[in-house]
Amino acid sequence: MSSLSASAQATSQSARAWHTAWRRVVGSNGEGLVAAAIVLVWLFVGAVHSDFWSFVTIFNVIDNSLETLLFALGFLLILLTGGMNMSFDAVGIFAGYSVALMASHGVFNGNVVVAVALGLGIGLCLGAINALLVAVLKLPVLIVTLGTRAIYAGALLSWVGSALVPRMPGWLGGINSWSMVYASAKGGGAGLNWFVIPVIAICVAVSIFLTRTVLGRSLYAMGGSVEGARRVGFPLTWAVTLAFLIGGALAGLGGIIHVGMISSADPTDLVGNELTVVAAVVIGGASIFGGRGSVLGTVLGVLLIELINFALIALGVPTAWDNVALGALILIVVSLQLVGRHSSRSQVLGGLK
Amino acid sequence: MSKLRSVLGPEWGRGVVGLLRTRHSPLPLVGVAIVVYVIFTVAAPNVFPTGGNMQAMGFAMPEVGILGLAVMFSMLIAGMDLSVVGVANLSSVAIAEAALHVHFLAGGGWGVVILDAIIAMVVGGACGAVNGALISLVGFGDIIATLATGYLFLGLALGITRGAVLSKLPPDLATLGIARVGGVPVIFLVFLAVAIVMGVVLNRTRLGLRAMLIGTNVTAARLSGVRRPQVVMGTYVVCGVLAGLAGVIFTGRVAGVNGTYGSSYVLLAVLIAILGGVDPTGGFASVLGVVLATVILQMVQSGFTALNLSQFTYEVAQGALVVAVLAANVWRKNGGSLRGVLHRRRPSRNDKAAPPGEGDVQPVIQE
Repeated sequence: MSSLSASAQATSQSARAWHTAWRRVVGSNGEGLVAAAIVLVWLFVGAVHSDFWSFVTIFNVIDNSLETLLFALGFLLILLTGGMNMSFDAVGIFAGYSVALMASHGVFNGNVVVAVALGLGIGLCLGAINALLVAVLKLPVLIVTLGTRAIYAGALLSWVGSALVPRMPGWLGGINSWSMVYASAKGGGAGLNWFVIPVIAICVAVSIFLTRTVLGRSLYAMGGSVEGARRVGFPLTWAVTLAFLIGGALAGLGGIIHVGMISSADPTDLVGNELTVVAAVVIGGASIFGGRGSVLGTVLGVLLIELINFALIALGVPTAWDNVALGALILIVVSLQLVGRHSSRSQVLGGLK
Repeated sequence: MSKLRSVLGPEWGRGVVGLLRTRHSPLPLVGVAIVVYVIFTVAAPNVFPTGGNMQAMGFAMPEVGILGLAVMFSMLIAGMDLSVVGVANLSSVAIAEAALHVHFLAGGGWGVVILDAIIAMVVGGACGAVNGALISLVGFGDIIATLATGYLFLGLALGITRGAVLSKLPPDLATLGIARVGGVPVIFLVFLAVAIVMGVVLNRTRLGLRAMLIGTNVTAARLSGVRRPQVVMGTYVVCGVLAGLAGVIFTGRVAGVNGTYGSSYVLLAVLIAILGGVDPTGGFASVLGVVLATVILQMVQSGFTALNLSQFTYEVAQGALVVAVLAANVWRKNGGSLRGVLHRRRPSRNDKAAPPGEGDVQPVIQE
């Protein structure tokens, strides 16, 4: 009997070790699974369409991810608190288009440093309006940001300008050709843009903010339980204010990169495409109820979404189906999250018994 | 009169004078409507107060009004239906596809119109059932579920038509879109009829009363034996059916269907609901308020057009109104003082709309 129980114990120990190892690979927010999915999609599409296995694809995906990632980080900060900020694309195009218009009217000479500074400033101002309404007046996030989204997008088209800016002067118009490395191919090559470096730096900074500062931890605490976080004494108002300011600034920068990368500025762009960012953040393991999520997961989620985007084009799926793919992807991923949550809870409760 | 009271619910039980004295009195909205009317009449006397403009407003109101009623009903259970425009477009495409493939459904006659309405409501109801299942069975949050399905339905509508415009539609559906009875657009009468039916559903049916109870206090509802999943399911199916009806009106008013109609209506529907006095945190909805809000917003839109202001400026006004209405609600709830507003507690999700099962494991902390 003793040998029997010993072997049972050994089995359960090795099972536990496997489980721990599995959890480590998967990551606390499923980052490992997203990384695996990226590799699988890449391998699968490449098997069908061999041009897909190239540095051109990789560089294109990364370059396209930059603006999406900046929007996604801002969205993540608010999602952690349990709210959905829907105004980031409007902030982005407001900043991007206004700066492009200023440059084309000769307000400044297209210097990228000036453009980025202006974009960050505009983003900060628009983010501050959101912060005032949500953090200070404590209005519901989703409805208010749908409102400010309409205000920003409508104000841009009514009072700033509604015509396409086809060219931008100076450096700003040439952002897309600033490559660190260039991969050439028959159909046209692609380069890895220098903006990758500041964007990586921003990711690291946001990650440090979220994991190492009281204000960052407050966002997670608020997502777990608003009332609990308030009673413990987390500075919720400041945390949400800062989250909206950071989110606004990042969206402003994202807008600058957006207009720079396509070398023209269309004021009707971006708004209405919010689902890409929502999908990326949710796929990256952030909980839709708040309290869970990581910068690494978001980065991987954005890369996966952009890769799928390229894959759909490579496979010849009409773009009309893009929204179906995005919507279905969100539903599947969130369903898996919810099922996982239920099973992990029953595990915890089972362990308590 | 007593019959009217019993149909329209407890609010009307107090009589007209009593109703006007309640916290949810429609009087302020009537006042706003009059002020808006006077402002635009003064600003554009030759364009705004004309019979032609009133008629045009009557034609434009029903689709957004019905979508507003749908969002209202979802807010009653502290939910949110962001998919209504997607559902309406998918129903609209279903009608067009039916006309394309079934010879009989492209013909004339009011029977075809009624069949089309049934098709649209079935498609809408099915979409609503998908939302309801995701929220009540799988455990999605209302917002993420309906945001994703909204894009999904819109994408399906666009994918089915492949972006092309389907213009082979039953002729009498187009007649419905322009028909008038004594100068009043038929679709406006349809809107009023739908509003009355929704008043009955809200105040006189088990679903409406249970939805109200869940929106007011989810724990009390559970302890009273109300089964949340069924009510959530029922609520979203009703929202879907309403959106399907809006799809019929979309189809009647346009010459061709391509699944991208009314993309700016999501915010407008939410605005109509909250301007109509619906509490987005659940528990209170007013059909009369929603109808008045629809009228007010339509006057604003027509007035803007009369003043040659662009659609984009109207969008700004919508956004500003959303923020203003929410801020005004907070102001009123906190005794009308800035101090009260700034020091109030952030309303917690867990207070009202706890996800299924969540409330069971969280201990309640007493102060």
